[in-house]
Amino acid sequence: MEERETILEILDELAPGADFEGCTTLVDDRVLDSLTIVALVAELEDAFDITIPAVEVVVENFNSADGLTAMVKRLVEDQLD
Amino acid sequence: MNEEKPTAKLEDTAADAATALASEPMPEADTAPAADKAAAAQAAIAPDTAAASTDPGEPVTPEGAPLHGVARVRALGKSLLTGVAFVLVGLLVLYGASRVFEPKSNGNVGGVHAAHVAANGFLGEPENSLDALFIGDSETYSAVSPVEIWKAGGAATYTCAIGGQNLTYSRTLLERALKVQKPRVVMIEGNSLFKPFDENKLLKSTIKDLFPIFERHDRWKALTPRDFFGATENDYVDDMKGFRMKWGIRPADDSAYMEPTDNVAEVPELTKSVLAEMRDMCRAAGSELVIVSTPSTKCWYTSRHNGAQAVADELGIEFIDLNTGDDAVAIDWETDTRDWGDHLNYAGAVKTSQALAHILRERYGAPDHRDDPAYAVEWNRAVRHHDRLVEKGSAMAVVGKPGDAITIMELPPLYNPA
Amino acid sequence: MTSYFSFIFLAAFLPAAVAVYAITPRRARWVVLLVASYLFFFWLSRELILALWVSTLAIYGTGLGLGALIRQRDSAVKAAKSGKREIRARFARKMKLVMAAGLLVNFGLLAAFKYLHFFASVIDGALGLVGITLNTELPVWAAPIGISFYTLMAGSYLIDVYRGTVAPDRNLGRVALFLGFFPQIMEGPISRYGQTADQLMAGHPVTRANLYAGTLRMLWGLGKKMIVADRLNAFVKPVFADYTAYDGGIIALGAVLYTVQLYCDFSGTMDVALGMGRIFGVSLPENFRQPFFSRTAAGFWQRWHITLGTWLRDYIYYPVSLSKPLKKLTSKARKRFGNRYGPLLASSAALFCVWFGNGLWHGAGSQYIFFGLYYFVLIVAGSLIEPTAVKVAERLHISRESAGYRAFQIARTLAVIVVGELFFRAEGLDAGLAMFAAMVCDFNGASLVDGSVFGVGAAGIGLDGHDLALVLAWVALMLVVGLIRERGVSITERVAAWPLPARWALWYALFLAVIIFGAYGTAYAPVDPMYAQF
Repeated sequence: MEERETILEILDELAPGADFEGCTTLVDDRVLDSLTIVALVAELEDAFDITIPAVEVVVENFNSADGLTAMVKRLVEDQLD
Repeated sequence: MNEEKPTAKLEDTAADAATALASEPMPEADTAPAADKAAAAQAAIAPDTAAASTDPGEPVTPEGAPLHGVARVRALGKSLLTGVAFVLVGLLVLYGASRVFEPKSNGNVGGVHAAHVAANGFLGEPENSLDALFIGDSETYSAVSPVEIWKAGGAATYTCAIGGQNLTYSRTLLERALKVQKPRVVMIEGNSLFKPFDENKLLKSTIKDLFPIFERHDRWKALTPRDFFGATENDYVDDMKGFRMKWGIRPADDSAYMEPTDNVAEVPELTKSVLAEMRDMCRAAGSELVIVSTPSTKCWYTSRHNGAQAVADELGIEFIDLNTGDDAVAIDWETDTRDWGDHLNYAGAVKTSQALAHILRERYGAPDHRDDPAYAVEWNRAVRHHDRLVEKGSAMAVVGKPGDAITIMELPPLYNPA
Repeated sequence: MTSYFSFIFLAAFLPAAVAVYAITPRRARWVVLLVASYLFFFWLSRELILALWVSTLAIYGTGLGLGALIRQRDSAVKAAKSGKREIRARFARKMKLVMAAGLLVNFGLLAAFKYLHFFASVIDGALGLVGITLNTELPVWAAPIGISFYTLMAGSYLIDVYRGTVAPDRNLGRVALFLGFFPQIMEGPISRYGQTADQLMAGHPVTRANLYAGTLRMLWGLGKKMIVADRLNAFVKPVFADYTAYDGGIIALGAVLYTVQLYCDFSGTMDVALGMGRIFGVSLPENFRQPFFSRTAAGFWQRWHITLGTWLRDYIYYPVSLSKPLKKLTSKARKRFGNRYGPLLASSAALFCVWFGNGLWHGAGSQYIFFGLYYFVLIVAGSLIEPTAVKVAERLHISRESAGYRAFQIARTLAVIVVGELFFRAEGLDAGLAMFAAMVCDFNGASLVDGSVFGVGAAGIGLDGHDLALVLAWVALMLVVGLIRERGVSITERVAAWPLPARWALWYALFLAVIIFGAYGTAYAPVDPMYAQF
């Protein structure tokens, strides 16, 4: 699950101090706000060499570390050469 | 009045301030089952549109199973009855409100335009006392003075006109008048024929007649207990009998006045049908409807004469043109108009009224009431008041040049009976 | 018939439409809606309905084209063993072109109708600076009704298809109805395809509950518009038209009353629109959420003209801020300036586009662009200052959640809003600046206090004591309703549970209120719904 680890690292970097392991309401509770999301998307794209289209920027994907991991995994697979 | 969940917490982090747009920070993925999502997302908004085994709105038993046959018809009938009852009660409410808002006097009560007061002053005249009515717009109230007509021939008449009056209001006034008066002749201003007319106005006018509250709603500022509990007493009597005495001289350029032409000005179809209605109303009351055009260089020309004549022929009514022909009034356009030919001033009104008095007597057999004690008191009083105003007015007449702002001195003839 | 508020629309067109809809079999009801919508459009804009049809056909065709490309791409990717990324990129380029073509048709029409003269004058001005004068004669076209609104909806459909959020629609009728639905056509709300398309086709029956709730909501909107907004116009119009004749106090009052007028006019029209939608069983998105309770300028735009805000967010803010060049910028900036201020750079760039767009959308005039940039500056400044504000509040031991602080925030935001609307309404940017200067420098409360402001006749400006009292009463009522809604209570639901006599009484009361207190009739000049001009 290296993806998940990487993602957690990135999250910690962007919004230090928050509990990303267990939280499933990152967006609803405003742990991740719009500015952070923009930064997060940029970092994830760099880290995994994927493109995150705007249609993926939705609550379900960003509300928890698990949701992010699932999205990243899917995109990596889809966009694999 | 639909609303979403409480949002007190969804603001005010600075980062969201920066985006300024996110009520949630991200768009929601709206995929195919959008209707369900939309309906679910806005929970209790349209409960009737949730998917159900029966067509929502179809009658159901309390358990939710659909009704059939007789029970269904009965339920639908109940719905229909409720709807009808709702509408009926609503009409009743409108009617009640209209009764309250109708002014209980025809005088200068709050919320009623002074112009309407003068035009409706005939309600204060003794019943069935008037020989003729003049219905029209500002042309009419500037040109036709019932007091002058009385002085010239003893006929009792009234001018029912407001500025810019449209034909629907003319019809309303006629209806009101014919309830309490039996004039021999009703003269409608020729100018009225050529105003643009559409169904919208007609529909509105009909509704206003049915429910006067639409006309009188502004009176909320001036309601008194009398409006709620008092009876209607038309105690206001207009001294000028609807005429507006206007002074001031702005000469008209009459070089192109009534130039001959073969053009026929068009009269809207709706206008013709309303005129026909008015003609029938008059006949049913024993009156004759006549089209009369008062003198004006701006508002009247030969094509309109032709148009009015055509309408008159089509409807089988008389048309009298005071601008031209045998009935032309000898207006001196240098001295008799107050606004460069649009309307007449007092001097022009005298000439016109005298001409009309002559026509009323010769052609319509209007009697001379000057020795009749039933009329004497009121009309002599009016004449005295009138002459007093004429004295004042003559002393104040102003001559102006074209291009002057019009400053009309109108000596207020209305009194407030309080 | 000039708008939803004309007599013939309310008394004849709408009831007829509802009646025909109700007796039509379910499958065909959408046709009734479409025909009614086109009749309404034609009645208002005559032959300009062609523009609506062109837009409809353009997005229909483009949508299908995009759908074909998507299918081809997916099968190509599936079949390919390698080089998937290139395949995707290749198709993405094609799809972008197709989408751009569709968007160009739509926004090109909008530009032609709305902005031709404005762009020409801007270009003339720029060329004039270098000494070139062009004397072009541009034709003057009246714009089709609602073009600013339905063009945005058309654009959102295309972009949604491109993104795969929405499947391209083979049903031309559904696309046509989505764009042209008459309750939305004049002033929005700007809905998304996924929100309304299916609802419109469903042919929901006219139920008693919906009829009651829908007409009740319409009456509420009619009340706001006809009792408050149209009445205040008598004061607002002369003040803005002839501002040099009035002192700062009256101009300030004019700005405040205009803000009230605009809110009542626009949200009232929205109430009418949503009420009509509800009668047909269609739930349209809300456009207002008690905007004057906002604590910040940014918060205001989450509560005012909500559908425009979300449109700009989804189709300008996110695409711009998540675009490649800006993402690179964000990464670099984050390394330089940290996590707080780094993303701000890209975000501000995106925000600039949003606010410029917001301003420009409202009108072809410099005061509208000024209006948009005014909020841009305020909002960016707000987010820049935020960390400092937090620290200061801590130092001074002020709780930012206390009632006092909240009140301060709301008051401050109200001032910001009123100033913004002053510029919005002013007859040009120069007028706006002059009026603002007068408000600040020449403020003289005396004219307000001594009563000369209100009074019928030459001294007064269109409103008398009765009018003012009525406006205040209705505003108080709106405040109460707003507070109830802010707590999340659904007034519609609550009222639906009342006994029948109470429900009927409420309906009749609102109905009578509109008839009695509405600013219509011979004493008033008619006022067209204000956002219909955009």
